[in-house]
Amino acid sequence: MPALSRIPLEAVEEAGGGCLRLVCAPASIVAPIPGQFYMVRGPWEADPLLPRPFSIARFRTVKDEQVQLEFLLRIVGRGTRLLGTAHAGIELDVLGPLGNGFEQPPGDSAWMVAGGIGIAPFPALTDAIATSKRTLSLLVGARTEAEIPGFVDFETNLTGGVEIATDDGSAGFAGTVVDLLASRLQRATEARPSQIYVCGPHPMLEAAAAVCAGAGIPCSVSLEAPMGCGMGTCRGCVIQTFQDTNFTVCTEGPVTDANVIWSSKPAP
Amino acid sequence: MTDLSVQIGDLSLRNPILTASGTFGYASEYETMVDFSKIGGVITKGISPEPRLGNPQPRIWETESGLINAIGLDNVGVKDFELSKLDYLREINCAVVVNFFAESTEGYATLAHTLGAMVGVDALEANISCPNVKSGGREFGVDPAAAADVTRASREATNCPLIVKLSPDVSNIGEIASAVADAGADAITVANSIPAMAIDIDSRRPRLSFGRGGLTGPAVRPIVTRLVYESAQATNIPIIASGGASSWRDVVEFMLAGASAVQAGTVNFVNPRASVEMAEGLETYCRQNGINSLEQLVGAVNMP
Repeated sequence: MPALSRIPLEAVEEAGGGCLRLVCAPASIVAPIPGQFYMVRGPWEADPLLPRPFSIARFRTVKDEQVQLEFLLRIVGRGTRLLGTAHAGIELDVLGPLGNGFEQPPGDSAWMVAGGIGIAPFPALTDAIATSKRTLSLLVGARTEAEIPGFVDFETNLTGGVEIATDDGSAGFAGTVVDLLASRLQRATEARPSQIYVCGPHPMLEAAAAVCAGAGIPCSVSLEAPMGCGMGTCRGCVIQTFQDTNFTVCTEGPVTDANVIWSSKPAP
Repeated sequence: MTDLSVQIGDLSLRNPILTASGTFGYASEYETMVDFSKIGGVITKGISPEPRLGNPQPRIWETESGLINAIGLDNVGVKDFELSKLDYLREINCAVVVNFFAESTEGYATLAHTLGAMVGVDALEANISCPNVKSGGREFGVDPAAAADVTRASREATNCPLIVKLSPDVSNIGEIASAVADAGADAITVANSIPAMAIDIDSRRPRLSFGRGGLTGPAVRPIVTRLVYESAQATNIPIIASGGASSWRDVVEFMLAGASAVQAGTVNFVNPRASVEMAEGLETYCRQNGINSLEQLVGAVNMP
């Protein structure tokens, strides 16, 4: 069950690629499931008005069963600018954990595919999967080398390795991360993963879902949508599925099987 | 102990704080956040004769101290409301007001009859003012005769207390308020969201898929305060203020302008516990200022 907590901000740290880590002080809250999110708001009056949704990037249980939350953000507007330039010690209103998180992969190996800041939920997922001795790979894409988000400090658990894609070819694979995904799936030397996790902008998720469907590999996506409440009431994040039904991203997602949103059958 | 109770027709509220339609779902969403016994009542998402998907993305866009939405009346429809939402609402310890709308005068009457007969529904709020759909609502809210027709038809269809939610997008709200009161409304809600628009200067496209939307939140409060005042000058039926109230101070301000009750709307997204905090703050304010009955506040503004 979600709770509204007031938690001091412990630190804001550079995380590479123009991303920032927002580290909260330990608090007496329930631990989230990787892939779940929080609505976060600083101690300002009416502007910016709404809290901002952030996937849980990482969490750890510290002494006295307290839980320390960490978010990854990129400054894109007024809300993220205020949070990203906030001083340690300010109090954040943190509502969560919200929505549905990732499940463990069904087999021995899994790949995570991140578009830019879509890397945000993967450190927590990496921590959760690493304890189960599975092989885990990360594919991460950005427009250019300077925008590749930092890998925080979770590389050591990526036993299957990290591959980078840049649209302009300035680092790693030249092309989108979805192109990289398709190319890697065709490499005879790679073992096929039992599960692919994808997080990034909506068109990227749709493209990745099509690649996974073509390869017959289960695809779990973390959806992104503008959110007002995080509780299913404002209806701002609702998207329509291929079956013309509504899908409420904040309560039915943000993590879901891709075939709930997009048809897994090839286009006629 | 200050008596914060409010009477709106046959509807009794323990205090004047209601949660606004479209900002509180069907109440169960806030079970872990809100002690319903601390607020006057909840107003549901607007219910239509058939389920509605609403508009495509994007549906919301934040502006300075405000939120523009074009949700498009996404709701479960009256059948599923009765099957899957009403049982929970029956059990909560506050008044339950069901917001509703239809595409014709007859549609309003039929739905008012159906919803008004449901056990657990304490009052109805007719939405004649949504700016975010192509038909169904707003055209009834901007014309005094049409507003009166819809009100009269709904009134004749049910004995349930009837609140009519007015559009702010009119040149003379007093005229509409008075027409709706004469047609049998027990109270009016002033007002719905304010028609608004935002444009992305890079793509030159509107920020919302519907093009336009409705502005809510603290940004609209001074406009709605004026609309409440003007409505209060034109009619004697109770007025429920809706538009940007975020704290107990805003509640007091709306009451001084002439409101008998106040809705907490967009603020529920900012702070899910806001409605309870507003009720508690109002109680403290009244106690500290020797106010024994809210009637001492309603319309008590000293105009120059």
